[in-house]
Amino acid sequence: MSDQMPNNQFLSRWMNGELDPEEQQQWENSEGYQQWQKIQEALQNRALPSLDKESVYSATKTAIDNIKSPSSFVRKRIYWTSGIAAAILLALAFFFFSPSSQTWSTPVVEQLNIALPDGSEAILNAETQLSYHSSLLNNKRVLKLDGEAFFDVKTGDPFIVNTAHGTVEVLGTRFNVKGRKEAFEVYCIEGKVAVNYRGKEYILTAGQGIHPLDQDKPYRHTTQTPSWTQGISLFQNTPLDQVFDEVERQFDVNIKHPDLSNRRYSGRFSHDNLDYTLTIICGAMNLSYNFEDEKHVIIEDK
Amino acid sequence: MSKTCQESTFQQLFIELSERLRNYLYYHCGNGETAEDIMQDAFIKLWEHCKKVPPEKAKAFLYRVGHNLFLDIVKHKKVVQKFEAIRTERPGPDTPQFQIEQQEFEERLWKVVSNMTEKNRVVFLMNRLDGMTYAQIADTLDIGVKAVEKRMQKALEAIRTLYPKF
Repeated sequence: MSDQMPNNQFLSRWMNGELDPEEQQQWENSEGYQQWQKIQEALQNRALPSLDKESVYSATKTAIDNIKSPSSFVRKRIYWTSGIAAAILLALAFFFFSPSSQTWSTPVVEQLNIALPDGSEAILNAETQLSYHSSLLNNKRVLKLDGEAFFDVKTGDPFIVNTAHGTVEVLGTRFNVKGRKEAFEVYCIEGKVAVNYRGKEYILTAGQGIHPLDQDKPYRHTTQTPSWTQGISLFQNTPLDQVFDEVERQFDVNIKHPDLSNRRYSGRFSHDNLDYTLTIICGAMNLSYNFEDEKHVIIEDK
Repeated sequence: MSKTCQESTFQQLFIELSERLRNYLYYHCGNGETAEDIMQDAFIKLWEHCKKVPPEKAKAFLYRVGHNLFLDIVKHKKVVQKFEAIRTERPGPDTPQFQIEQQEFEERLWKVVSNMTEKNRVVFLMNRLDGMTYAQIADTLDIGVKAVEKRMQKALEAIRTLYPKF
């Protein structure tokens, strides 16, 4: 091989297009040149594709427009006090870090189907707040969830759901997240999600979920559609006070009960009959219930 | 106010400079997405400083800012990938055996390229993949042509290690 490959000085001249036509032709007919063709091909295999300048330009421009045009900034600085200029800077920083965001929320009893700006879909359960935030600079879809929602994510950039207790990250899949102040639960119906909960990372594939009660390993489930989207709330070994919280949410009532956090409930209730729901739960848990008025229920140990 | 602040000029600069700037950053960090993000950030910085940077100084500004942003990211250890294969299967009449050999060669070659010092690698790839002459590279990086040649020689020495008998 060594006799076929010219020295570095020659190669360097060739690479800079300095060879005269005769040298060039001789070189192109040599075996060393064949070798270089192979190198060149292998290099090109990992070169970046050409840049879609127009769309990247408009993305960059949008990010810039959110910052503000330099000319209007100058005018303001001349006429306004420095305090206001500082306020503009703050606003600027705000726009810079939150290029576009939107928020939805549901009151008790209601559910809401939403189409997210990226084409993904979400269904919010009662008393839930969701905000969507997309950043052009780092290509991420970031959501903040307080409540419970089911997501059908369109494939694409990382899709991240932050809750008070943990973070869920996916690329494209269907999954349910419950991230209320007292509870956290995620289950994956299709695809794969990464869940970060209490400093640990869990990878959930279709048919797996995690629940704070059996922390260290994911549980199996066969859910295809979250039951709550069909008007049914389902519980498995759930602290009883959380079950009553859900009853309050689905029926818009206020429930007073003794401390029940140590008791667990497994079962379901449908969102259409409060009386029946209370009969079932209280019957199973050896409790009694009374209506103080239409919106207030008192629950006691039997 | 300099012309850079006019949108038409700014757009023109983007069209002219963005792709090679992105590639330059890719040769540094080995990750296409990161390179594109940094490139966009550099242009945003250019817009923010457009009054002080006339169009003829824009290129030097962008490469300097881009490189600083890259160093910043390295400091925070955000870059992890290194020149991953973009296409693993290539169409063509080649036999599977030949394809495997090609892929192995590609692996070995890029390992050598990744292990070059950053400066040598960047110069080498700007020439090989963007087809830039040494004078153009020197101008872009604001260094002398001699320095470019020197880095090129070093890169070639590294390439030669692929062939024990050279």
